[in-house]
Amino acid sequence: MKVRFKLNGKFVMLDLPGVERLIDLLRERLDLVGTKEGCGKGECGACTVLLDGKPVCSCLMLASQIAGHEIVTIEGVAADNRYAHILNAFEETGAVQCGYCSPGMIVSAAALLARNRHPSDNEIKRALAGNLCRCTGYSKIIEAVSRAAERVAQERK
Amino acid sequence: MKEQDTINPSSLRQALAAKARPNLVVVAGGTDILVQLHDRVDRPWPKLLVLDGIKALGKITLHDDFVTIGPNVTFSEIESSPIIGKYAPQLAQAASVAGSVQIRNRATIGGNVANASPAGDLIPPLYVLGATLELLSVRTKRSMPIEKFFVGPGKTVLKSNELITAIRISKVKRIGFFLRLGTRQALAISKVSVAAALMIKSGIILDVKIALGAVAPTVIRAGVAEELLRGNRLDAKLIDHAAEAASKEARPIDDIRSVAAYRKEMVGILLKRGLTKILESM
Amino acid sequence: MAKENPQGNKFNVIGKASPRVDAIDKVTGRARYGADHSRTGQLYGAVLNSPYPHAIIKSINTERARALDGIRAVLTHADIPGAKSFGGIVPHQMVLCSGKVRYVGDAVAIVAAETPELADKAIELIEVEYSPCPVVSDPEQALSPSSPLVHEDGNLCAHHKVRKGDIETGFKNSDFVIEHEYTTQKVEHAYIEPEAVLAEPGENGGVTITGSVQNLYSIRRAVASVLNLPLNRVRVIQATLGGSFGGKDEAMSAICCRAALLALTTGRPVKMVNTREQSMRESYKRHPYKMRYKVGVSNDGILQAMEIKIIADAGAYAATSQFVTWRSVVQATGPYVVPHVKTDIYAAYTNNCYTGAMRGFGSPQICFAVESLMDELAAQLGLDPFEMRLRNTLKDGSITATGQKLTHRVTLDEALRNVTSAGGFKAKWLANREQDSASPIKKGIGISCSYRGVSLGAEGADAAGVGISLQTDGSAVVTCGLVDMGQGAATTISLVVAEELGLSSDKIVFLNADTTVMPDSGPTVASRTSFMAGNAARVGSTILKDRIAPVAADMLKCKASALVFCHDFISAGSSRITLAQLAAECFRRGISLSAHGWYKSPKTTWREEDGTGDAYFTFVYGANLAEVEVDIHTGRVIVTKFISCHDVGKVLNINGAKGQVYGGVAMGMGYALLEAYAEEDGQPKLGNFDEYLLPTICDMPQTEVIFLEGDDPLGPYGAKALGEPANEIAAPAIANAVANATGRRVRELPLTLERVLLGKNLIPGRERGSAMAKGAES
Repeated sequence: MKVRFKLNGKFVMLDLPGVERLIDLLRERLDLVGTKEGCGKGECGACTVLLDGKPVCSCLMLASQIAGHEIVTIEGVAADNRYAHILNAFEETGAVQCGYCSPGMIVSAAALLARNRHPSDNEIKRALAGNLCRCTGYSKIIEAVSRAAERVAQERK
Repeated sequence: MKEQDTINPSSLRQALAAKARPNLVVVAGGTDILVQLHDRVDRPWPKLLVLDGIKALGKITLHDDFVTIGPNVTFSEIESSPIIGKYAPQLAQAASVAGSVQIRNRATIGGNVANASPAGDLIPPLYVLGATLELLSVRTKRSMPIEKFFVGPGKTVLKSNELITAIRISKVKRIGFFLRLGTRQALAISKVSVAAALMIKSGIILDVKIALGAVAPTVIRAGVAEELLRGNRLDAKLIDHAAEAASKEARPIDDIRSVAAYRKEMVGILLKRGLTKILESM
Repeated sequence: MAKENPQGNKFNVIGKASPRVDAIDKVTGRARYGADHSRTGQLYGAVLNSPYPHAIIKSINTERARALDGIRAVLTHADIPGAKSFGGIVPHQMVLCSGKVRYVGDAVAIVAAETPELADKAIELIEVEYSPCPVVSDPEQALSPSSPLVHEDGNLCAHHKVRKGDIETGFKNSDFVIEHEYTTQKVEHAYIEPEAVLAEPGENGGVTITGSVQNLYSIRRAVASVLNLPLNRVRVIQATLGGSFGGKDEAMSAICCRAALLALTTGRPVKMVNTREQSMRESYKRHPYKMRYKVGVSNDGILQAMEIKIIADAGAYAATSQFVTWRSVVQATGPYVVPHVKTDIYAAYTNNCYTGAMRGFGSPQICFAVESLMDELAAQLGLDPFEMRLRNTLKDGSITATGQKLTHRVTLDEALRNVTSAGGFKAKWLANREQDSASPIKKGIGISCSYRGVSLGAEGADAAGVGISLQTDGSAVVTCGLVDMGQGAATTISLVVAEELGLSSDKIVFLNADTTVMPDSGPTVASRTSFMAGNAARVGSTILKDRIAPVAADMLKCKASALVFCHDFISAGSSRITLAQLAAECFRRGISLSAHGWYKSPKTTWREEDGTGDAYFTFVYGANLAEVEVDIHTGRVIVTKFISCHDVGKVLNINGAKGQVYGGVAMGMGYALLEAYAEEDGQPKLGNFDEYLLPTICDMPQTEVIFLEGDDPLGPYGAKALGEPANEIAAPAIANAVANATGRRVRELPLTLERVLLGKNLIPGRERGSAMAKGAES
């Protein structure tokens, strides 16, 4: 079947061979390997992408389910200036160690900050609860998201 | 998993027509079916009927006496819906604690019901809200109370040509709660859950429903505890009796997520905590 | 060693908050991990694992798999050209099994196919006839003479002992003797990136492997011997590593040998990526320990004797069990002075998943036992846990259990004082014992401490190299034989070079490790990288600097000793040149701009007969404090506050150092409360993160980090080690806090709700999955 969807800001028309997971479409056929697979069961969040602005696990979606929708991957987030503060904050605070969870973490953070400009620590935790990290103990990640929110707020002043 | 095909209908009519064929597996959000695909149980995998393109099934509608929730409504939508918040706060509560944001954005109420897990978080609230399911096939239409829908873990009375097309709950105002225990503080599957809905007038419990999750092959009602409560004045002693009764009604097993003795005890603890909070707020 | 920084003790980059050198690549998704590498025309590899934990292979029939279209190779043990097995200490782990399988992660056959789906299909078509053998699943029973044998030469994998003084005299001198058994569970590293490798046939008849490899050189040895190739024809390149924690060390040998074998057989690149389930099934875990401690103490609270017997489950293969248990035996008495010690540790082969290196390396287990025990002794004597420890801790000049005299500054008491005063320990600890009985929520506070030998110690050769290549534009390429697996080695090493050469750290590109570039630097383990590679980077920088400084002196017309290298400039008084100008001038004069720094660790000694010696060249010290809230009606433990103090010698990068502590605490919390790799008769009872539960962001407490800079003359700028100490004492601090809250001691990990409430373990049921499906469904 043919699907048309928006991917990182551009319309894409693709032929789907059959049952295919979204993550495989992104990684194997479109070479968007910034999206990572850690568990294949929606438990780790490394494969998080935005579906119409909302974070979802790309390992738990069929490629055919994105017809008519908009998908943004870490590559799209990284290329979008609106999210530069998040990337910078992750880099500066030390929120990245091995980095395997970072793309998913940043995508979740981007979705949070898009709808909540002043998240509390608890709101940050709730928004990132679906993204496992084994290296950082999360402290610096919370700090990075708070810092990114502050920077955005300062800029708006 | 690439050789099989999927059917992606855009209307209910197309979906029902497709469902008339045997051996179709229904996908709504996909958060459960794709997990099963990953685990490769039940191979070779049959064709997939993907419902989430049917917009008409994704609405929450207010009627005179009841609220209709479409099967494609997601956990996130339930969590944030003012209608659900008003008429079914237990359901909103359950939707808000299940899984993660990513899961809640995709998981649907229809999928949660159809999957028939005894630990499915939306099911106990639907029990106590007296939910009715509407089941449609190309030729037939029937509705039934949700409690009649489940046969065992993963097993329901849904016929192979039928789809769940609506979940209906009454607008009668009741107070209640949904409480659960999981191993960690987020992203946990319930070890035990308890939902309740009560109608209390001048301190007397006129009506009450209590449902227990993850302590039997299906979600169950705590009938004995309900009987103890009904018609009586809510006080600490009555709460203790009801908690003890509910604990006895649970028939849990040992599995990877907990042990039977623990689950049994926790049914009482959770019920007591929920009821005590109601008592304190009176 | 390099001259002191000319600005005195003020450093330009060392000790500051520096961003990681690889952070930009990682936050943008550009960093390429093992599974992100692909080649045109690559094949996909798959493995057939044994369904039985212990069985004789009677026959293997691959005909049907071979007949399938798109299958390029189906290989069994008979197709291996060289050694059939590998293993760093005991080379007995089979690449592909013949004769016998010993655990369910053993492989019997491999295939290479045009697509992953075809590879899976071919695996299903391979027919293997097994004759199941009795399963050995309990390490204690494994050591009894009547046990079936996992390996022909017996089930004893390792035995180490330590003897100090006379244990009988010690107990005679004691007023109290207590005896308890402590148990720790098997846990998984749970790096979020599952193992992935790409093997390519090389032009020289060799093979190049790019993948998630923690120890390049041991992998190269294994692949070379299995393929019968000289070492120089096996090239191993580290892809960006998505976490390791000790887990992608030796276990990677299996997947790398298999991928290389398939690549050389087919003449095409072969990619092998583990699913989480395969990763859990095959990869080694942290050893579960059963530890029996008999301890004598005099009325004044002074330890007199410790008699310790530990049984470790090695699982099916040795891996690093000999070394893991050795560290345990050295540190088993905890950081205390004990005059009379008798310790025996045994590791037994079983048909369970094998066990090996994991962050801590034999210390988290014994820390849990000793630190629980110190609290229990304190309770017996009516002392508070802080006081009890202070009376017994190692101090300057103390003699350890192995007879080693501590000649460096011992900062253990300082660490303990720091956490107890920052956490208001004593007052809270006393108040918690008399809490309002109406509320089910009880508060608890607990402490723990440890000492830890730095680097490999008497395990073996301990040296490492760093390569520095200055470019004519003043930038530099730095590489090392040790790897960055997420812990930040690339950044730390770059910072040392930047400090020494006066470079800005953004002028440095750090190359991931590659066996053809750098000499064998041993494994990236034992928290040795900052120390060993840091020192090697200083050596290399000094060599380079000594070579280029005379040219600078010539250019600036001054003495070399008057030069200051700083911020990409070399200055002498008021005149200066850029590092780029100097590098270009050196190049014109034919002076080499590359240098290799090599550092060999100071000497250690060990006598295996009685377990005495200077086991490690230096030690680090740390203390933790945990505050918890326990719901005594449900058994739920919430860690509300954590304080972690470590003597790291010298902080090289404050961001990286804090990150190690936060991460170590999180992993320790998982160990304390959540994680357990459950097996029943050698069969895993879980396979993914839905059942093996890691701490989420919501589980983490507010954590305070305190660093002590005890300064060690041996370390680079005085730095020592941190990665593992940060992890090893979190669990006992939490367990002690839970005991403070509930008044009840739990001597088994993890402290699940069930165990805290009922004192009973969570027994994995046989009906798993039948009754309980997932909570949030599609």
